[in-house]
Order: sequence, then structure tokens, then C-alpha cells
Amino acid sequence: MDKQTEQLIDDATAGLRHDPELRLDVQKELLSHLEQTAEDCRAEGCEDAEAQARKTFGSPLELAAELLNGNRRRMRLRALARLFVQALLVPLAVLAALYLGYGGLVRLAVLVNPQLKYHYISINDNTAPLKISLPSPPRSLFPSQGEIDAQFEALSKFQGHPSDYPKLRRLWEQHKNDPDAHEYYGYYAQFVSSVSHHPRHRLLQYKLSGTRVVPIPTPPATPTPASPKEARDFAQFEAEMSLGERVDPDNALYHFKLANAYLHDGMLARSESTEPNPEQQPDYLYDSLLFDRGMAEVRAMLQKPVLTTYMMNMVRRRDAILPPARLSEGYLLHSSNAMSELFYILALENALARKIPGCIRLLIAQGRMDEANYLLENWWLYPSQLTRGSHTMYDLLVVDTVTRRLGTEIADIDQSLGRTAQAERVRRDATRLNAVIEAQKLKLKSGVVSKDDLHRHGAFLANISSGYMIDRYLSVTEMRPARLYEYTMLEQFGTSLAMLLLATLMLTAAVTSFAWLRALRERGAVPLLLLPSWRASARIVLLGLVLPLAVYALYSRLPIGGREYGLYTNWPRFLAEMVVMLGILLYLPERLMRTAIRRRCRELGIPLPKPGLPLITLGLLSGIVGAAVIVGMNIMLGISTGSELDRMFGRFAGSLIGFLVLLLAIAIAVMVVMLVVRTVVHYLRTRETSDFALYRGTLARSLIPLYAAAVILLGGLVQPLLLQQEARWLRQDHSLYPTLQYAEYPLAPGTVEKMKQQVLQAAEQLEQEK
Amino acid sequence: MQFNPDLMRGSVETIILHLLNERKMYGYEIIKAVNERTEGAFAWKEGSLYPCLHRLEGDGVIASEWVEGDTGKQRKYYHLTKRGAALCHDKVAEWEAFTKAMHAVLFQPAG
Repeated sequence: MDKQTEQLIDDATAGLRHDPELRLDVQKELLSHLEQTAEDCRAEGCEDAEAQARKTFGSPLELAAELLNGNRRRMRLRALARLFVQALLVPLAVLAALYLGYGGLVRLAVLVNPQLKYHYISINDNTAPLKISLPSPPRSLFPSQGEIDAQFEALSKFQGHPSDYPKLRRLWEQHKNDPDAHEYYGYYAQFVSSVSHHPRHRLLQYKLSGTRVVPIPTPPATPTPASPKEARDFAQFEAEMSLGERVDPDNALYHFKLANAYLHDGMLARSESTEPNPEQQPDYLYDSLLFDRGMAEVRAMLQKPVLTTYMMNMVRRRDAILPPARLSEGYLLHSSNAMSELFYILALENALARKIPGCIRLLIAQGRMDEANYLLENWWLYPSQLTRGSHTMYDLLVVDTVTRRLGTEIADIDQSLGRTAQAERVRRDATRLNAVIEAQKLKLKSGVVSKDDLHRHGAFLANISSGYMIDRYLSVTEMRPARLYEYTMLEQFGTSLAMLLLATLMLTAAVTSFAWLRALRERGAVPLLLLPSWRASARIVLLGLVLPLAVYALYSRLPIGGREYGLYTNWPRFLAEMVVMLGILLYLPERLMRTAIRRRCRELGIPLPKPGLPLITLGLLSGIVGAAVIVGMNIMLGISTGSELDRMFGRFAGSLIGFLVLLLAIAIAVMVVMLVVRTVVHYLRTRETSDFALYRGTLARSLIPLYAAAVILLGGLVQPLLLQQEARWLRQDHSLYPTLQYAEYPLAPGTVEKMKQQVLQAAEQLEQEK
Repeated sequence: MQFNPDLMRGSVETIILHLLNERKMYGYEIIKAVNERTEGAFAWKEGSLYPCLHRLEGDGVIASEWVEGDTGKQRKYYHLTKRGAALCHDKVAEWEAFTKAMHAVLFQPAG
């Protein structure tokens, strides 16, 4: 094109300068018209056909005005579309990626990390309202603010913590005249003692040397007398425990607490020693007065039938007030709240079990044989009380630990006194009390519980923590909701990852586009923002995003998807599927958009590099194909359980799984590296002068809305669907996820109750024999 | 013969729609076809045609696509959409009625 023609066309399209793409399009059309006119002129024998064509063209200024009028409405709509993309779509995508994408990954961290979980749930902080403090999925699936406030109110009413016991006492006062007032008091009382130690100073006066209590010749450092506040606090503690004894006379809890408090400062048993060989350490008597008081409380404690904190009763009350948990966080919140309270008291129960043998040895050394014999013969009352107060498997495990410790050490004491028969009987009694739990452990080891089925069809969580929770066969149908729940959760996190990767690609495209803008400005050019037509855009979104997601949804919910098998065995295949999906979502829409952009650039006369698959893209594709091969192999092989593969491949089964996993790891690594390299290469190209600069800049700029649309589609459509499925499977699972009433798996309470009754039967038999 | 621009303005759309109803065409082709069929009576300029084409395209009455020709050069062809086909039919009917009425006034004897 000669300069005059170029100038003519420029002038004629000056009115379209605010829409560079349209201007280019019209310029090319007018140029085509002029060239055709010149051709016809030449055919008629004109000498200067181009000049003749320009002459017949008419006034460029008039044409510019007419073109502006004719395209005004179209330009306005196109400007609105560009504004929508730049001002709304892209920022929305960034927000969606941060809120939903990053929030999804943080959610994963919260769910798997106990520290983060507790921080998030703010178990120990009753002053903070129960808010979803981390980025989370759409609010519509979470409780409303009013419901959250109600949740906090209900939780804080029953949420225990040592520093919070005044609030719990007020709760008891509100229910003081109720028939179940003792439950409120017992629940409160368990926390009171934790901050109240006896204010008397610890003075190391005596130690047990062999079988004698001897004074320590070298006095310890100067003791610190109790402050008035400490003295008042402890006096209040003692008063509260006395009140508890009156309010709740059958419960050993109050004597238990007093015993712990007195003995904590009164003595130190050798099994509490932190030295490497505790059995070679002495027992220490710190304070005779406190020791005697502790012993009195232990005796009083053993007279009571039960030792309980009514914790589960409180959990049930609280959960009756709260709305049902709809998502995993709700279940975790409820169960971890209950567990955090439970473990505190379990630690104290264990602590007393360590002290009792030491107390017996000190009594013997002091010549107080009657008191020592009482404990030697009635030690088993303590685990019996604990058993009656048990509601969870954790309670029974502590009973097991307490019984084992007391049984062993007391038998040793009897042995040291020369009472061999007595020692044998103690060991036998301990074995009888522990028989139930030992039988449960053996049942699991021998595979009576359907371990194989659990491996194949159960939830991942069930496989790693079901040790003590299940004592019957579960059908595949029963295991289904928990299993599908786990898949859904991981699909959510895969979606979050995809959103973040797409958002990253969007931002790198934006940076590259900006770099091209600076590079092209010197040439008077600007990278175009090419927006395909509605039809073309719909085709790209449908084929590049919706179709792959729909195919995956169908595949995963049909038998071919292998969802009948749990993640415990199916994880390599699932991981491969995620890699394939990620790869497709990152590659396919971009490829479709790139094709559309190339076509448009060709129409606009923008120079294009040769088409083809660069090495980088080939690398990306190879990663996708590699992962797809793994999925295909899994489909063909059925499920990759150890037993099935052993049958098919014999001793090579383990190698095959390893080989598949290695392939997958290579595929993931290749994809990640290629993505990074490609991004860097695209950016570095902006520093080169190239005929294709306008195309590359236009490509970078025009890909931004595609990535934005993909992020919004995933966040706005896919994530909510997956959340709904998560809620659905949680509600339907009645086998393996924490029940709100027992803070354990739903299968556990039945097992616990059965085991508890068996332990109590054994205890009753002991009592009858005595 | 030079026609009044106001007279021409109203007919450009109808002519374009009718021509595109026959087959798809590019801009220069439309100008040539009009010139030939009217034996030079309608000698359209680019300023008459292209703004009208673009306006019709913006209204969704016609659509365009770049097509590579035999010579390797790309040309922008226009064709009617469904909406355009319906509009074409209405416009032609309107023009028929208009010319019939004009003819009745101008050339039929009174009474």
C-alpha cells in the first residue's frame, strides 16, 4: 500500500480511533475496496490506477463522519463490553480466586492441621465471636450472621476452659433448682482445680530411700510463701468441691479433684519423674499435711460409685441448641470442642493413677500399713468408677491405661512385701479388667472387622483411624457417603487449585500484556483487546470449560469412575484424574481462544508467526497424556488394591503401583515446569523487536478475559455444586464421621457401651470375690 | 440523473437487503451490482454504502465474514441474518406499496 492510500484510509477511519480493532477492520475493508477499484481501472487501461481509485473514493472527512455515525452504536456496545471485562470480570476473577481459590486451600490446611484447626475454632478463646474467620465458600451454604451469633452463644454457654469457669458457674446457678443441676455443677467443677494449686510452698523435706522415708539433709532453696490471693483462691476451690459433694453426692469427681490438688504439692511419685529410668528414682514426700489430706480424699473417692464430669451430657445439650452442622468445619468444630474438654480430664485421671502407687510406697515407709493395705486391695475401684463414667472410646482407653499401670505397680509392691499370691491376684484382676479392650485390639489385628473391605470401599479417614471404632461389618452402601464425601472434598480443593493457577496465568498475561504495551508504544501501536463474538465466546467456554467438566462429572459418578473404591487404594488414580483435569482446564480453553485470536488477527491483517505446537506446549500436553494413560490403566486393571494386583501380577504388584506413581509424578513435574518456562519465555519476548509483536501483545491481552471467565465459572458454578454435595454426603453418612453427641464416630457409642458393660461385669465379679 | 439525497437515503437499506437476499456479497461488489442494474442511475459512493453496511451489521440485520478469494486476497462478505431476511421482506413490501401509491397519485387520471 502506498503512503497516499495509507493516509487516505487513515483519514477516512479517523472517527473510529477509539476502537482500534474496529478501525483496523474497516481500514482493511476500505483498502480491499480501493485495490479492487484500482484493478478495474487498470483493466480499463488507466495509467495511474491507484490515483484514479483514490479520486473516485470521495472525501475522506465526509466518509469519516459517516462511518462514525454508522458505527456509533456498535462502538458504544463494544466499549461497554471491554469495560465490563476490564472493570468487572477481571477484578471479580481476582476476588473469586483469592476468596474461593485461596480460601479453599486454607480450608484444607485447617481441616488437616490440628493446630490451625484449634486456632480457627478458637476453642480456648471464648471472647472472640464464632465467625468464619478465614476465606470460605459462598455464604448461602453457611449459617446466616444471626445463626452464627446463636451458635457462639450456645457454644460459649457450655464451652469449658480453665480460665472460663466463672462463666460455667453462672450457668450452674441458672439451673440450680433443676433436677439435673448436679450435671451442670460437675461440668463446672472439673475446670476449677486447674488454676488452683495449694498455696503452701513446696518444700522438699523427705524422700523415699529404699523402703524408708528419710529427711533430705540439704534443705532446698528458700520456699516462697503463698500470696493472700493464692490462699483465697485455694480456699474457694476447697469450698467449691465441698459444695459439689453436697450437690452431687454419688460422684467421686470432687474428692478426685481435691486428691489431685493436695497430692500435686504433697508428693511426687517416681513414675512421674522425667529421668530416663523412672523405676530407679525415689518417690518424694514434700508435705506431710498435704499428703495426709490427699490420702483422705483418695479413700473418700474410692467409696463413690462413679467418676464423671458429665461432659457428654453438656455436649448433647449444646448440640441440641445449635443448628445442624452442614459442612466439615461444623463437624470438626463440635467434635474438637468436645475432645478438647475430654483430654484435659483424661490427663488428670492418668496423673492420679501415677501417684497412687507412690502414695502406697510412702505409706508403707511411714509404717501406715492399714492405709496402704486399703489401697492395695481396693485399687480396682478407681478404674471401675472411671468405667461407669465413660462415654467414649477415649475414656475406655484411659481406663485401660490406668488399670495397666495400677495393676503392674501394685503387683510389684505386693511382690516387694513378699505377698506373691496377692501380686498374682492383682495381675490377674488387672488382666480381667483389661480383657475386653485387649479382645477389641485382637479382633482388629485378626481381621474380624472387615479391614479388607474398609481398605477398598471405606473412607480414607476410616482406614487411618478406625482402629477402635468398628466392631462389625459395614456394607458397601453404608460406607458410600463417607467415601464420596472425601472425593468431593478433594475435588473442591482441586477446583481451588485450578482457580489459583488460572488466576496466576491471568495475572502473568496481564503483566506480559503491559510489557508489550510499553514495547509497542514506540511504534505507535497498541495491543488489541479482541473479544470474540457471543457465539464464538460461548463455543470456547462450552467446549473448553463446560464440556470437560461435564464429562468429568459424568465419568466420576458412573461405575467407570471407580468411586466405588475409597481413596485409601484409589488415590493414585484420583490424583491422575486431577492432573488430567487441571491440564485440560489450563490448556484447552486457551488453545481454542488462541485459534480464534489468530483467525481474527489474520482478518485484521496483523502479521502472524507460523502455527504449530511449540516445545513448551508439547511438554504440557505430554504431561496431560501421561496422566490420562495412568487413569486408563487403572480403568483397565480395575482397582489397584494390593490383593488384586498381587493376584494379577504376583510379586510385581508393588512395583507396578510404584511405576504408576512415578509416571504421575513425572507428568506433574513436566506440566509445572512447562507452564513456568512458557510464562517466562512469553515475558522475555517483549524485549525483542519482532514483526509479530502486535500479535503477541494482542494475544496476551486477549487471553485475560478468558482466564477470568474460567475462574468465575469454577468459583461460581463448580464450587457451590461441590459444596452442596459435601453437605449432602455428610448428612447421609451415619458410619464414620464424628457424631455430634459423642464426639466420636457414630459406630463408636454402641461399641463403647458394650465394652463398658463388659468391664463393669468384670469389676462386679471382682467385688463378689472379695 | 442526480437524485435528491433524501430520496436516495431511504432506499439504500432496501437495496442492500435485497441484494444480500440473493447471495452474499462484499462492498465493492454491491456498488458494482447497483451501478450495473440501474445502468448508472445509482452511482453509489463508499460514503453511502459502508456506513449503512456497518449500521445494519451493528443492528444484527446482516453479518460479515472475511473470506479468502481465489487470488489469495481476503474480502469481507456480507450476508443476511434471519432477522435481516424478515426485514428484507418487509422493506420490499413497503417499497412496493409506496411506489404503487405514488404511481396512483402521479400517473393515474383523476376521478
